[in-house]
Amino acid sequence: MTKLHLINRSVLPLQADLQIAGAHCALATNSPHILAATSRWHASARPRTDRTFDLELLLDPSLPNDRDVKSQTHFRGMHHLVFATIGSHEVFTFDLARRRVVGAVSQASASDADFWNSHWLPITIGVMGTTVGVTPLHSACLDRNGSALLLAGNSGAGKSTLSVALARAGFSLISDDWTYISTTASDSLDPRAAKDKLTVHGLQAPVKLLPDAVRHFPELATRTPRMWFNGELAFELQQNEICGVPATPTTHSRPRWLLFLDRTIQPGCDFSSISASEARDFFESSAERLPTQLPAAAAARSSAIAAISNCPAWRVRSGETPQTTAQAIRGFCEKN
Amino acid sequence: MRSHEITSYRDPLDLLHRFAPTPLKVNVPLEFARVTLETNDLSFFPEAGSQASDASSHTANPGDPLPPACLWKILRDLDTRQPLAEPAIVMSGNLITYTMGPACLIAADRERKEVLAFIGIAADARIFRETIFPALCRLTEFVIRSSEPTVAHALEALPVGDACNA
Repeated sequence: MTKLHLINRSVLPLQADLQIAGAHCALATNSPHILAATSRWHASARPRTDRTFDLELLLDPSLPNDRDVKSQTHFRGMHHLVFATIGSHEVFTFDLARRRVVGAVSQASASDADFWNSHWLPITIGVMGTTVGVTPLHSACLDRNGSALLLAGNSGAGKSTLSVALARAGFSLISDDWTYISTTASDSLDPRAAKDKLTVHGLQAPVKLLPDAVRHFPELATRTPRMWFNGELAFELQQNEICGVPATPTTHSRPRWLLFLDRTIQPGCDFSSISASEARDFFESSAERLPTQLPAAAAARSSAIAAISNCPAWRVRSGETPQTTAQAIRGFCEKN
Repeated sequence: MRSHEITSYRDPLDLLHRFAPTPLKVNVPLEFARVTLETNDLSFFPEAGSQASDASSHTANPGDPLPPACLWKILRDLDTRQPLAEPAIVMSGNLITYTMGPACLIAADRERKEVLAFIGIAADARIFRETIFPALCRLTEFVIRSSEPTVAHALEALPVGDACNA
């Protein structure tokens, strides 16, 4: 038996405007549960612009509810399309050319607020962002008095553990892994001027810490790490668990410091200035490859990377614990 | 016939397998469309291997209008090992997605005249011949229609049971 889902606005009568990481998402659904689960992102009604993408979600109550989001999510992409399946029956198609996402979901997904807020909407912005002027950057981000510190580094450099340590040292955590950059409209093509029009965003996604983080945060020993989409085993910490008290969420900030983390076995923690071109090369080389069918998205992403790379940037070589490194960074930011 | 060694694909900057190579290019003769197939696995079309270098396999009388053209890009996805699930179709505007779980993902785009597919290792030759190839043909009919698709068109073009939200 083939199941047919016809998705259009006439079968999706419930609508809302969402503001996510600087992008405008026009949500349409037939499920009040989805509408309620995504209420964190609801914004006032606004006109469509080139920063708008459509998210059309059909609840099919006949779909099985036994899917496991973390172990049964599968992604593939070709040309302008990205496919995602959850379990055997839930399916999403991301159309990057038309800036539209359509999906058919079970009741279990529809009513799971954690699924939408911690996983699926961040993934959706990660996939669609470049088509609506939002550039995903593989970097942690923390805020101090309205100024953002971006913390980049290769996988395994310790961005997440250092982010948690910085959050406990007085910074506000915006993101520990993926940060999103949006630009305000500007006629200027000069990246040095464009950097002043950047905003960095986080999505309040949970922090992932690899099992060896227990060396620095012994309280993790009472927890059990879980398997993630990419097959990685990791602890999951909600933002309000990091400092022990409910945090005031900080979701956007102006970039001020770029730090590239380099773990070393030498004791100490030192800072050395690096050039904009070195910073740009790092971000370009760690960005997902985009298909030739999306030249405008690739160009917009390169412009955003060039702009953010014009922020003052340093390489941080540290052989110290995350807590000691965090104190050194805090002192550095107070002087720079 | 498999004239190309298929291997598992790994690229840390291409987690979606967008750039997995499809080096084989042949024409697939259909009555109603001129299909150009790009793939990494000609075992999908054993008869196509013999005309892999023939770029004009379509037989038409001089003066007959050529049928519309359509691209099929089909990737044999060795990294997808899940079993096939019941088919489902998601239709939205100019796009149809046909899936049988992760093991079979097909999208047909009317505006771009493209049918794009990932086929996992659970789909053997028989399943491809009896289930997937007919679906590809019907999706191609959808793709090459000149008029805006309607619910009636979709129901006519695709094998649908009674589970339908229309």
